[in-house]
Amino acid sequence: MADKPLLEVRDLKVEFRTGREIVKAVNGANFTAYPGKTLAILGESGSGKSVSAQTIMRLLQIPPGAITGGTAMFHGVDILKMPMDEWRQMSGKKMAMVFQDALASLNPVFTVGWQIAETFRIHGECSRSEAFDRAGALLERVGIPAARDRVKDFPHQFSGGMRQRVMIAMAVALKPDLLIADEPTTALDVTVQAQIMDLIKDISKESGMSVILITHDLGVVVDVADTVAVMYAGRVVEGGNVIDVLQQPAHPYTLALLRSAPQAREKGERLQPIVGSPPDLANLPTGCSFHPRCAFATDICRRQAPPIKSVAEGRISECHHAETVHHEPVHA
Amino acid sequence: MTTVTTTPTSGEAEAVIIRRAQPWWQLLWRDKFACVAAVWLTVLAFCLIIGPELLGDTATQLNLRARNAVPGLENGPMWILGGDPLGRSLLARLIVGARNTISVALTAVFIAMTVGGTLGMVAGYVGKWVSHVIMRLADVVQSFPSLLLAVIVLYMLEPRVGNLIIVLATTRTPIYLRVTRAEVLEIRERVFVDASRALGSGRFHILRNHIAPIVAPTLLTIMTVDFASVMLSESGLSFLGIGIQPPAITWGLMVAQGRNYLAQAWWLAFFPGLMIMFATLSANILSSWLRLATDPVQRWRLETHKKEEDDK
Repeated sequence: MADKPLLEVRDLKVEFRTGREIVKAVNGANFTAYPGKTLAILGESGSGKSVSAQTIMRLLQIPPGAITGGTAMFHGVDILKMPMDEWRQMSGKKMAMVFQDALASLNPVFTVGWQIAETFRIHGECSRSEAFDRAGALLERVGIPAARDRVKDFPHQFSGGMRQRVMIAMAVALKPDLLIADEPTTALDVTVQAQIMDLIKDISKESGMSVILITHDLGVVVDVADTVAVMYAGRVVEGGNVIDVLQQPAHPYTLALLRSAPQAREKGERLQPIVGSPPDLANLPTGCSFHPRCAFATDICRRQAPPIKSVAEGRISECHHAETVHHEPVHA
Repeated sequence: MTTVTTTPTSGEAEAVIIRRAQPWWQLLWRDKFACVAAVWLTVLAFCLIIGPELLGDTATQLNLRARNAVPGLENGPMWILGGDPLGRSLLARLIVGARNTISVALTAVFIAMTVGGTLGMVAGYVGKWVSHVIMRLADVVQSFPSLLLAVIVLYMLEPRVGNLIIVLATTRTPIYLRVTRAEVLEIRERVFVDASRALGSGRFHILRNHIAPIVAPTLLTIMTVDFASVMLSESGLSFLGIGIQPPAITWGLMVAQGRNYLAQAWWLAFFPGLMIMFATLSANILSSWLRLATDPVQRWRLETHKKEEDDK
């Protein structure tokens, strides 16, 4: 990965201040997106992946949320510290986002054509009629049949998969350099999931757009991502090339994840659930956050937070026993 | 009619149904209640615009033989609804009164909606501090009995039409303000607002293009209900002698004046009251039709209504 990074997030920390406690949703996450590549952020619910994405898009509600540290360098500027007015010029144009629930992401009272055209109008790209023309072309591009007629339809007249296609059309309308897709296929059924992922992959290939794909689905990660960042308790615990990470994980959490996933198991192998439950983000365990659930945990894990170790070329792992885990076979 | 075309399926194996939206007059024609309401409101609008000019001085013409005349044709066609204590034609007075009544009520309600809606959107969308100030102001207005407020203000100032409108609008504003704020607080949390922000839109853009269109139908509905109570408030003030001053007339004033003769000539209060009721009812029916017709998700209810009738 000698390429210059497109987005480099370093030590991102986000907290939510509720009545009595401070919930540390993101605790120093690091990840990097390279031009034209797809980065998958993999993690269970509450691991901080969506919050990270929202923070980068400046959609975080402040308060109760607060960015307490870290930088996100995008095209050489820290977008977290950028004035909001300046950010608005970039948002949508340089970086765009697709949300999980496509129906909720579309305004029910406007036609989809109007909403796609809105993207052009916000950035003052072109006239109203031209914006509508371009909206039609975009709908065609994202594979909606009879697109030119359907621009006049309302969101509720589309199926779930079609709505997500509309959302993708809106997001890529201005040819952004980076698309953040926050669980874009979670609300869809499996066959449609694959089509949507293919569409995102195609568009990214076509225009050289980078994608940050937020997901909890290992299968999706294998299919589309180039690199992966595994998140646990608000930290990226392992990162690297997708194939390497999933074949030879160097963090016990990734290993446990693979052993519990039906897709990654061979026939006849038993699924091994991850024992315990995700940590309370207001009350993180001392040392390594994963140690209460970890099969490799020793004394040092309880006392001391693990350093970021490089286990191989472009591979990082935050584990005291990274080397041991790295040599552990997945199928056991 | 609805045209349904099916094109070869592709991708997600989804039949493409293209419904051509029907023009609004066809939708209106299908809903007979709304249609009648619309016709009635058109008649009222006609009275409002050219009624007084058309009738000339018929409304002030005295016909002493027709004092408190019973509704009927004995005194000529203009006295069909009876005559008032001075023998003036009740029908003519109703038509002439439409202008004052409706213009006062409509202006007051419209001002209240505009001001309340705007402040409500600001209170709901801009920071906490602004919201507090606006809401406490609304509390102040609401904590006075509205009639008392109106009496004091109109007593201090002159009881002119302009002042009357301002007073009525002021006492109504908090309703719109509160409803708008509550709706905005809910809508601003919806994902499409975030989605729009992610596309780079600013606050004003979101308020105007994403929030206002969703709040508007609710406000419209309140407006039609409010329309009636403003008409009644106005009649109350007129009754106290600080509203519209005779010889100008409004329906509310006519009801108030007719009260004295309820035992001898019930029609003096009855017909103006009926006018108020019909105007309100029509506005209400039409607004609920309008709410359906402008809601893309609900619109089909109006479109399929007729088909069921055809099937029978």
